[in-house]
Amino acid sequence: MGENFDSSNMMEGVKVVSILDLLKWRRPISGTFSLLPPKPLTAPPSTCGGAITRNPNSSRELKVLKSLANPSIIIGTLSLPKSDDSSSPNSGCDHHCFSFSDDSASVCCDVLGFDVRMIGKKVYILAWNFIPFKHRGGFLEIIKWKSQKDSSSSVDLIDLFPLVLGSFSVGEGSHKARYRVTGILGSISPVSDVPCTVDSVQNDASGMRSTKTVHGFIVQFFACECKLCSSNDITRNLFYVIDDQERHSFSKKVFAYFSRSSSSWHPAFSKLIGSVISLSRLRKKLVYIKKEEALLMFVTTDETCLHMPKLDKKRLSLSNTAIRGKGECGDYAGVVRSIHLQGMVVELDDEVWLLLTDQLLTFPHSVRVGAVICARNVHFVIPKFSWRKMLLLGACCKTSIIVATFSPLEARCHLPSQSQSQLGKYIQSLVFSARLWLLLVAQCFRKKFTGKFSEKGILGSKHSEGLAQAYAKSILPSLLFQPLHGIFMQFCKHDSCGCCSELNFSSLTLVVPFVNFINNCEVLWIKSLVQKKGGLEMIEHKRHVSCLRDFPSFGQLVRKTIPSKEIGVTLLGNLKVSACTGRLQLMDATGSIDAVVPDLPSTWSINDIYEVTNYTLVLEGVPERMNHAMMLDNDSFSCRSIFSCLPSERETGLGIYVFFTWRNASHRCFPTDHGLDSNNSMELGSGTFHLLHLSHIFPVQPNFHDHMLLSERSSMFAEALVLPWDLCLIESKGAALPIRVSKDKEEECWLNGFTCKSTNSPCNWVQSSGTNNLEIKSSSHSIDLCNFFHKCRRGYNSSCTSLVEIPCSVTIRGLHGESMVNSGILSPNRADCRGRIRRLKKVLLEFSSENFLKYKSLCVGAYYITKHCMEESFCNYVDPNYDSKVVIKPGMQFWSLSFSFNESDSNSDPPQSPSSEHCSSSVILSAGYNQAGLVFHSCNGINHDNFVDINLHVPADAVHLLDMKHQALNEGRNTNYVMPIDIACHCQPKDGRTIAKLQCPEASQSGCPLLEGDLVSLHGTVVALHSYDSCPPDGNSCDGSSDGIHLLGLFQGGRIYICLHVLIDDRTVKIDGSLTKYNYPIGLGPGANVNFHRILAFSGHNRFMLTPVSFISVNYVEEVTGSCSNKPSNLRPPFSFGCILPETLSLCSIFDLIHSSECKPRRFHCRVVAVHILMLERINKLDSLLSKIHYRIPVVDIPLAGFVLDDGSSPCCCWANGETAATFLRLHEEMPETSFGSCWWGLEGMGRAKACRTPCLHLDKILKKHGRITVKNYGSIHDSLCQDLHLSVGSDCILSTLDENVLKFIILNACSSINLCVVGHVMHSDAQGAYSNTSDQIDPAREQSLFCSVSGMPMTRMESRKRKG
Amino acid sequence: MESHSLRDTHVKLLAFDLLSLTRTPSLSSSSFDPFSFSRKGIQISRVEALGVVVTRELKPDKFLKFSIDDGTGCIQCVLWLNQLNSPYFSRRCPSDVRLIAQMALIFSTRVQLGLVVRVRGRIAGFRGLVQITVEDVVVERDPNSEILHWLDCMKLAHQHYDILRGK
Repeated sequence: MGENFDSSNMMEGVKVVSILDLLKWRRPISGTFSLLPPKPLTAPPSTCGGAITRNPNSSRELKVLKSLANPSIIIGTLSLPKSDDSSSPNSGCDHHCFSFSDDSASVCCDVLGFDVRMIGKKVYILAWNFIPFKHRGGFLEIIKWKSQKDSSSSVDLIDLFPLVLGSFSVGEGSHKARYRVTGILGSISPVSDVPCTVDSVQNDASGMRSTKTVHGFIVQFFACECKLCSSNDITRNLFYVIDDQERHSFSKKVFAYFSRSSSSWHPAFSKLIGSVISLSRLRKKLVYIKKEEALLMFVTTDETCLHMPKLDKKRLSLSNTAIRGKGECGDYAGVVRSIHLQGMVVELDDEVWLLLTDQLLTFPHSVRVGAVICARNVHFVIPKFSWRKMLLLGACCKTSIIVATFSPLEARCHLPSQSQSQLGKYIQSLVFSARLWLLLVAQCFRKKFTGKFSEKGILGSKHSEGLAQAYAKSILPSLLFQPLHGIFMQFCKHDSCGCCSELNFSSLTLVVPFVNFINNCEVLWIKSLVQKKGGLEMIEHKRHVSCLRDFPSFGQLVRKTIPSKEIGVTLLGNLKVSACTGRLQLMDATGSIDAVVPDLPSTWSINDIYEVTNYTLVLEGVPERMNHAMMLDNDSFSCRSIFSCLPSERETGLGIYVFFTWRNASHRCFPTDHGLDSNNSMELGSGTFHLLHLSHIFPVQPNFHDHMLLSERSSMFAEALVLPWDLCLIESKGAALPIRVSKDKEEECWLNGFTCKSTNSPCNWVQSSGTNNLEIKSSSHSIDLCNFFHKCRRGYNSSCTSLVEIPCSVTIRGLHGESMVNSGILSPNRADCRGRIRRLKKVLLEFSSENFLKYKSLCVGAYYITKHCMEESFCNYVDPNYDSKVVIKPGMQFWSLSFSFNESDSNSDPPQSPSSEHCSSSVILSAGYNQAGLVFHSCNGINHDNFVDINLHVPADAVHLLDMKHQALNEGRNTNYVMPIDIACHCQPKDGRTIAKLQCPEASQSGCPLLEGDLVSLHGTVVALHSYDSCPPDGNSCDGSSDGIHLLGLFQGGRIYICLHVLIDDRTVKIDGSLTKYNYPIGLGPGANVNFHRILAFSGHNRFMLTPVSFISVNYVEEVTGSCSNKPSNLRPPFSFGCILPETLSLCSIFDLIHSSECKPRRFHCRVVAVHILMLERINKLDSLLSKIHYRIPVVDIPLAGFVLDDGSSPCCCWANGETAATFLRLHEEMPETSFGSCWWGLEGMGRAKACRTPCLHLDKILKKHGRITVKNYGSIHDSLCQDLHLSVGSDCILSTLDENVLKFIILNACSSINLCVVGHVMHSDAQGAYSNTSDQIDPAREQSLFCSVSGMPMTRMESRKRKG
Repeated sequence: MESHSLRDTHVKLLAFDLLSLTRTPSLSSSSFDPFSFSRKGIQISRVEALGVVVTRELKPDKFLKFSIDDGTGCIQCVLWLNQLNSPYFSRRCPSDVRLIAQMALIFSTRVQLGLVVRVRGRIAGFRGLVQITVEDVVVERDPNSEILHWLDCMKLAHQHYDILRGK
């Protein structure tokens, strides 16, 4: 690119741009000498090292540099950076880059086609880019240049350049500087200051030595040791060496140190890597790179000269190492796609990450987005991260970054900060894969904890370590660290410094912002769907849609569980209960994700940061409803998405939540977390506690005016039974001591002053020690409770006035996994005059919105204790028959409770639960997982030690006194009324169901027909769920029954309508109704084991309805793949075609069907050709009408519908039922729109929502006017365009032209449908006659009179797959 | 079964089959095409084809000419957009003609280069080549639709169209 240029040839009209002009303009601009002919502004991308480059596509948002309108040149001088930084012309830049100056000013610059000869000469810049810096100055990219014609150019083949200008003298120079080096320039270190002990120049003779800092860089040569190369005549020999390089073996490593003023040659030598050069007049020095290790090294002097051939443009690649991604050194060329973290991370091509974390390393300003760069001597690492595959290029002190082509884009220059933070040093001590991980963590932390911690707090400063570093320290194993050395050691002993041996550590998990996590769930969802069966499983489930659906457009819900190991991401965030949904969530500054924690202690803190590494991600969704193509484009775990701006949270259409157990969540207390009170949980302390059994939770009734958020005035209610026992926790002297049961422990230990004797009996007490979740089970130690009870009785009997006292041991589960054992006494709180314990007392607990958290943590059927308070009415015994209301105050705390009974007499048995039921569930629940799926909470209200805050160990001999469960249920029989509606509850449970009666006094007085049924509690497994935001099931799902009408008034507000098929004792029942978002439990759907509390059972029907007091809790969920095997075989859902599953029918053609003698139903695929006859009516049955009006679905009934179908084998006329006819007519699909503006059929007052664009709504309006409309086709039935449709109306009104057009358009639209899957059979002759009579005006004989009654739906991918199979 | 039994059926044909139909001068006065088409001796008039739109030429208010490629050949299709001016529709009710024109416009917007479309229509000849006078156009989103169409065509040809010839 550098050529001689004769200024006299300069074209007229070419403007000479001065540097000062560029600096004044302060905008990115490019200019060229010749605007015609149009040539690309930049040279085509070149490759080096065999790497393939690609065009940048991430930079599409960047504009291409604007060019000066007129031809222009810049004339000036290119010079090396000054060796002393203070007087650098381009002050403010310590990049050691070239500077370009003219008479007006100087700027930093980089040059393509660099030639050493241009240094210090006047050059003409013919093509250039100028990028201003952010604050002042700018950067000139010289694309093409020419030098002025040099009349005095020598005829030598080799050019000679003194490294220190003006210092060259002909002759041999000083006797010390007599050495020379000829070889290939291999690598070059960054410029650095090194402490150096040197002979004092002044006192050389005296041998005085002093230490000072030397500024310079090291160059590694590969020299040849042949005679020619070693000869003295460099000038002549270098030519021969270059001319015949293949005959030389450049294998000997030689190091030269460029110190002091020659250090300014750094940018020039960077560009000469791979060239054969010669240096003369060097000195030799012994350099101590370590205390005991010295290296003989050449050092430049003021007389040192560089010898270069005139014409050599060859670059040799010395790297011939096979790249396997384990830290090998090599070259890589690629297009810069993005630059992050102040230039520490550069993305090349597609997910190739160049790490420039070396603090000494600076890259040229010309490394901008869109530039083609060549990274020489980088380490190739392929990290084994489970979350992402990528190629990592680790830069070390030997790395040089050369720009091969400047970016044509307006991307800015990056100026890395040179601040020496602790984090930077820490990063440098890590292997490359861990460096990237830490940078990602730091970036994620910045996003996650914005607002909670300062930037400094997260990243740290020069003197203090930040959050990211503290976190990394706790995670990274020592083997990921590498020793730090000085620059000489690192450079000269590079291979032995461990830099090339990259250790791959696969277990580093990513901590991503939740918004990334949620967005990536879509990708995980697709992956999980296509994982099996070559990607076809995702459509498998569709077959169930047909058998379980009530509404044509809904598919079956699929639930996928993905263990955290497969995701490779750690969750880190605070826990909170969402005010919008009432669900527990893990949250950070970017977003939140629903969490299910079965063993969540009541005393968790909202301020603490929790880390969850072991969890299960649950994804629920209907594959058809999602745009899979869009999702696969997005990968939120890519480094690019983490480094770049936060993605916006999208509507995923997926139910996403994580499931983990509390003991798998470790609490993080970060050092900078001073301002937050992490221990705000209430201490249990000592005193009297009431025992409660929670019998019911009343759903949240949100404020009607504000459906989105819980109103401050809202109250929530729960119903509890106050047990006749109070728990007195004994005040011990000093704090209760935690007991860790271990084999290695002493035989005796102290427990609150009482001796625990070790016995040989096995013990199942499980104590978590510390936060590391280590469980130690003891089989030979148990606490001798008898001894303890004895002492307890002796100590406290005198103070208690009750007749019976049961001493017990209380195990308190701590917030962070630790267990404490305390002692207590159970004493009756209500005894009558004869000493008998009175019945249970029922209370209604009222929670204000500020106690929403407490309300949400309650669980029906669980036991709780709450501290006795004089103000509340738990102990209001004035009228024991009166059920009172207790307003829960902010200070009141509930601790969940479980009982275990110690067989004091028989030490051989472990502590037994009162029922076998408990035992079995305990086994299942112990880990939070069972074989079936994820256990959300304990079944049937039975608690387990792992799930509760407090466990009461009661001696076995007290069981008969304390059989609270039986007492509670038995006494409940007599209870009659509970607010807010009259409920009689808690009959003796039978087959898992409890019966209650619903009474509506007002309704009975008014004499209107009543809903009659019982309020029951059910326990079963959901096999299908259909939910409707605004379009709930049609009449079929409501069975056309009038039962549902009178409750409709209660179903208002922002609710979701659901219909559930639940399997209970091998029977499937249907439960429908509506739920608010607050009460919609996580996991409700197929495969969920669910408790339904107080739902309405219609007498005589196999149907149940959710009422406003109904409460649903999910016990556990299973994965639902949608395959047939998941479904119970006895499920026979409502299906309008004689309970036939379409997939069980054989596929045939219409031709075969109409020629078969049998009347069996068959399945075929066809399209609608024309309409034969249609009768459209508004639904006239009151019950159906009301339900449909309520559900806001159009009330169109199609009692008669004849269509002509064609499948390619033959056309045929088919009679369809109303539902199928609606499908054929595409009544629920959007009407097509032309691109020519609004459609002519658009009706006034119709919205633009999808529902408003369906034909159904238009039909509804027309039918409201006319009641019934009959459409008959008197034209062709084989050509949709030749149909002659005649419309007649049932009313006296005349059908308007607009309405007529709408109807005809609907029919024409129906005739251009996609393929339909239709089930039909040839009709019996008598049925044919009946249909012929109905459509008497049309002569059925004029076409093939072959009739089928059909049930159809659009053909799905499942269908298509089956057909291919 | 008589040989004209496929007359009102939308016969599913692959391009190579469609382009090799035999063209004979039509004797029927009812037909608007001067030629009738037959496959292996069986007369057919309507066809259903599926393929990727590879060319598209729009003459506003006149016609949209496009071709679809189903992997075995390219089928020329014409979608008329001149219903409001055409004498052919002059006997029809004007509101019906407007409707048909509106539908044709909708179909024309569906025909976009690169999309897989299913086309039904009449077989017609134009300058010695077979083309489809389009009745309706549906865009196929299902990636399996092309292969299914091939299978349908082959199955129908094997089990129905070829058999009818022998009867």
